[in-house]
Amino acid sequence: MRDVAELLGLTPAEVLASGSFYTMLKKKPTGEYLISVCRNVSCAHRGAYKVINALKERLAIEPGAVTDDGRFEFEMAECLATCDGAPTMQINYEDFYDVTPERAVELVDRIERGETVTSARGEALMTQREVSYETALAGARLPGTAGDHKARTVGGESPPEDMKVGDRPKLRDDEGSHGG
Amino acid sequence: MAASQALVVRKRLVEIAEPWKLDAYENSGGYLAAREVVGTSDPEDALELVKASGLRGRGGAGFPTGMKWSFVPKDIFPKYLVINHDEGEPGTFKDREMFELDPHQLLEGMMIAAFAVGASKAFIYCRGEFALGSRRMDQAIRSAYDKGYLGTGIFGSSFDFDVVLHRGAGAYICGEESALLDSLEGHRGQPRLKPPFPAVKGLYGQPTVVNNTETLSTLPHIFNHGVEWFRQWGTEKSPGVKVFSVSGHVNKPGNYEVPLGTKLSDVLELAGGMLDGNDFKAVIPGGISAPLLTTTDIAMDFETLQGEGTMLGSGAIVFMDHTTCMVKNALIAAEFYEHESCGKCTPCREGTWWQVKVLERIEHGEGRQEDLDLLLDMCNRMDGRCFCPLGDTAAWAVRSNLQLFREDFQAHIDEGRCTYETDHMLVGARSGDTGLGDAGVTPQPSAGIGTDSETGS
Repeated sequence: MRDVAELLGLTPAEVLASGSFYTMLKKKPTGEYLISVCRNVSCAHRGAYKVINALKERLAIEPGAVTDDGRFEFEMAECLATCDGAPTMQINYEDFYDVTPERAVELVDRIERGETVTSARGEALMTQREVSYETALAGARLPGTAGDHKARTVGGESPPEDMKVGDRPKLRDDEGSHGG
Repeated sequence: MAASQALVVRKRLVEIAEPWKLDAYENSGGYLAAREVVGTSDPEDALELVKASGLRGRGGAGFPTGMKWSFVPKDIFPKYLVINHDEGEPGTFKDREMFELDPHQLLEGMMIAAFAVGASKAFIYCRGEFALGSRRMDQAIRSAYDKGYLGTGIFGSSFDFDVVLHRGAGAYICGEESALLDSLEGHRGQPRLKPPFPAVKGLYGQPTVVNNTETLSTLPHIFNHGVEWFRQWGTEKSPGVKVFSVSGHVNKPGNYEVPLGTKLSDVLELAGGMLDGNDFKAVIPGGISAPLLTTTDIAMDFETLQGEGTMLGSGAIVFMDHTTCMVKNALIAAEFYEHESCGKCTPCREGTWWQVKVLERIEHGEGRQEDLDLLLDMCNRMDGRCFCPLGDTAAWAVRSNLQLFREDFQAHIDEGRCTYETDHMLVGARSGDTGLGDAGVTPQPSAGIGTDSETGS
């Protein structure tokens, strides 16, 4: 908090005020793979809690905790807006639909064995480091990483070759944007 | 007559391959409306056309879009357009679909809206969890800039328009428009006192129009085909078509676009009927915030549902069959609101917490007879006393389960257990989220909740 505050010219309390408010801003190190299982209405009525209990057993941790080796974190998420694929979950914010307890455990097994896992939408999983980079700067990719490579193939459209970190659509003038 | 869809906003999604690409969008009539509006018409005419169409906001409140725009003062600059793509109302998955698959449709709607209200800068507030959507929109914005559809003098006109994509970080309350603006400015996403409304004093204190993704995605079609065409569907007060997200115990969950005023039973038919032919028990007609209905014989439009004491909301329809435990259903809702309460006002912050405690012990067979009236009393005391709709709807959601299915709650108390074969829910699992305590808080039946609740009144 102090470091961020210094960078932004704020007090640590102001940084913590925003930082503590949002689910996706983690205050402690996350697992390399963050598994978020939706627990809300459509998923819960179609077996989400079976998935949650299976993962709890497989990973031997409670929701909100990280495995001892730091590889997995598991959380109960609120509605992920993919209720037509209920029960649904995300791994590092990529979607998996119609998840069964068996499939959830199998996905963990596969990640643990180092296999490539792709989401229901065909996206390859990024690591948490790449994810935090992307979420912090909408559209940016950590250069020279799998995320960077993948970004060039998503949707079949290549971003400009000169795309750089922090590169956002240029505002004509900065007046009024207040750094937003 | 068999139920059928009226595809407008979802047409490309259904009929075109890779509709998110600029070429595909333009080859199917994309950007014609914006090009014409921005190039040849007057902002006032554009505003009047939207007013005449009767388009109502598709985010949840159903406020007439044209009227919202007309509240923006003409002589104060800069003005901003903000897109509320923080889709989080449980059961809703329509905005996410059209944003991922047809981002240019939204961009085109944004151009028209911005032109009409005189905003030359727009911010898209995309929910944090939507990784693919944000990538697709990012690509769409870049390709639009490359073609000169965004930036200085778009489509060769004198109208400048810039778009910034902003990703949220996981907070349901940021779907409330003033909380969204605070979040966009970098603060905690807590609702602001209204008035002043965002139209007068919004983002960075400037006049701001906040519109939902589906609302603006509808605009290009209205401008291409006209008001009469749009009003061929729906009712006088709820014109046009609407995308309904259908989920829960149905055979074919999915998004279905139908005229407003379509019978709920027809929507159920489109979604393949009740799962495995099970008996219908209840339905959430407009997202988890909307009180339940126990019939499907009802017209899905804003005014009819309001007349029935519920709401069309975001258009999220969740069907539940006879195997559904309504105590569990209420607890799911209560846990959601407890987690998402922003903490600004006391009735919501405390009320949602106590709702969970009481519901947990009923669901786990430790409920007391007086808990039922206690729960009802809590809901009544929250309703209308919260700072923003989040707390009020938390009261509605729990109360409608209890009022319509009191026998389910009574059976839990009488038998000292959940009377349904339902999946075991994790008690107190939410505390793990904060990283502040251990999971597994067991509710204490003798905690004297009644006394505390009364002192809080």
